[in-house]
Amino acid sequence: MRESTKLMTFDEFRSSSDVVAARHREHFRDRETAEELLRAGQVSALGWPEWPDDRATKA
Amino acid sequence: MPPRPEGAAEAGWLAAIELGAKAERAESRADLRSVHTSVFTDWARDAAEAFGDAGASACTHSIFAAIVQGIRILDDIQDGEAQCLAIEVGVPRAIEIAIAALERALELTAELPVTEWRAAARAVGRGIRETAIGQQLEATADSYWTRVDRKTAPLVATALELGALAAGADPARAAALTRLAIPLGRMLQIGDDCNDALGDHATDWRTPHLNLLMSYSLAGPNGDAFRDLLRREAFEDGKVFLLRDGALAYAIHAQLATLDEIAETVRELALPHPEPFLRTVEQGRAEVESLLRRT
Repeated sequence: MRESTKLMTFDEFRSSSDVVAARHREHFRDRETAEELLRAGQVSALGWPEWPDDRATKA
Repeated sequence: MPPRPEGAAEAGWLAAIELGAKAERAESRADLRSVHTSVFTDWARDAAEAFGDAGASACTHSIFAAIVQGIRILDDIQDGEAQCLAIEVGVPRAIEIAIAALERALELTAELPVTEWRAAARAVGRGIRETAIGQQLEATADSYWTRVDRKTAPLVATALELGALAAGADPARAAALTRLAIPLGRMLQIGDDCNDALGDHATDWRTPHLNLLMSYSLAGPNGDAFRDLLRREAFEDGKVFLLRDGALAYAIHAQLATLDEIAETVRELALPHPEPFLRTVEQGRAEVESLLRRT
C-alpha cells in the first residue's frame, strides 16, 4: 500500500524536496501552460464538490 | 459594496446560535416545532448508503435546503455581499427570513420518520449553532484550516449523522461517522476555493485572505507582486500568477492529503458499506490525474 500524503504548510510545500510536490510545483510554472489551462476553463472543470452554488442567488 | 450592518448581522447570528442550542435541548417534538438540494444531501445519502439504505436519506433533503437558505442569508449579510436578499428587502427582513428558514429546518426534523429523532434534532441543532459560531470566528481564526474546520465541518457532520440515522444506524455509530466531517469539509472548501479563485465566475478576489490559493501566494516570497495585481484589480493576470506561483499545486497537494485522510478514516470506521465514501476518494484522485495529464 502506498504511503499517505501528509498535509504540509505553505512553507513546507514551497521548500519540500518530495518528488510529487516538486512535480506539481513545476507543473504550472510555464506561462503558456497556465494560460492555456485557464482559457480552457479546466480548473473549474476539476469536478471537486463545491458549496451549494451561491452564485445562482446572486446573479 | 453596501455598508456592513454589524449590529443587525450580529443579532441574526446570535439568534441562529440560540435556535441551534434550543434544538439540542429539545425534549419533545413540540419543543422542536417552537423553535436546494446540495452537497449536504449527497453526503446524507452516502451516509445512509453506508448503512445499507441509500434511499432513506430522502426525507432529510428539505432540512438541508432550509438550513442552507438560512445560513446563506446570514452569511451574505456578514460578508457585505453587494447582491443578496438583505440588499433587496433590507437587513431586518432578511434576518427574519433566515430565522424562519432555520426554524423550518427544525420543524422538518421533528417530522422525520426516524425512531432516533432526538439524536437527529441534536445533529441539526449542533450544525446550525456551530456553523453560526464558525462564521463569527471567520475573521479571527489563526489559520486557514482552523477557519475551514470551524465553518464548514459542522453542517457536513449534520448531513452524515442525519443520513445514517435515517438509514436506521445506531446513534453511536451515526455519531462516529462525523469523524469524516473535517476532511470532507476540507475537500469541499478546497474545491470551492479553486473555483472561486480561478473559475470563470471567480468571486474571492474581494477577500483574498480567505481563499486558500490567494493566501498561499500572499504569504510567499512573491506576495508583494501578487498584492500589486490585487491593487490594480488585474484579476486575469492574477489567475495566471496563482498557477505559476504554485498556489494551485498546493491546493492539489492539500486535496490529495485530504482524500488520503478520508480513506484512512473510512477504513478505521469499518462501515457496513464504505463504498460511497471510497468512490468519492477515487473520483477526487482521478480528477487530479486528469488535470495533470491535460496539461
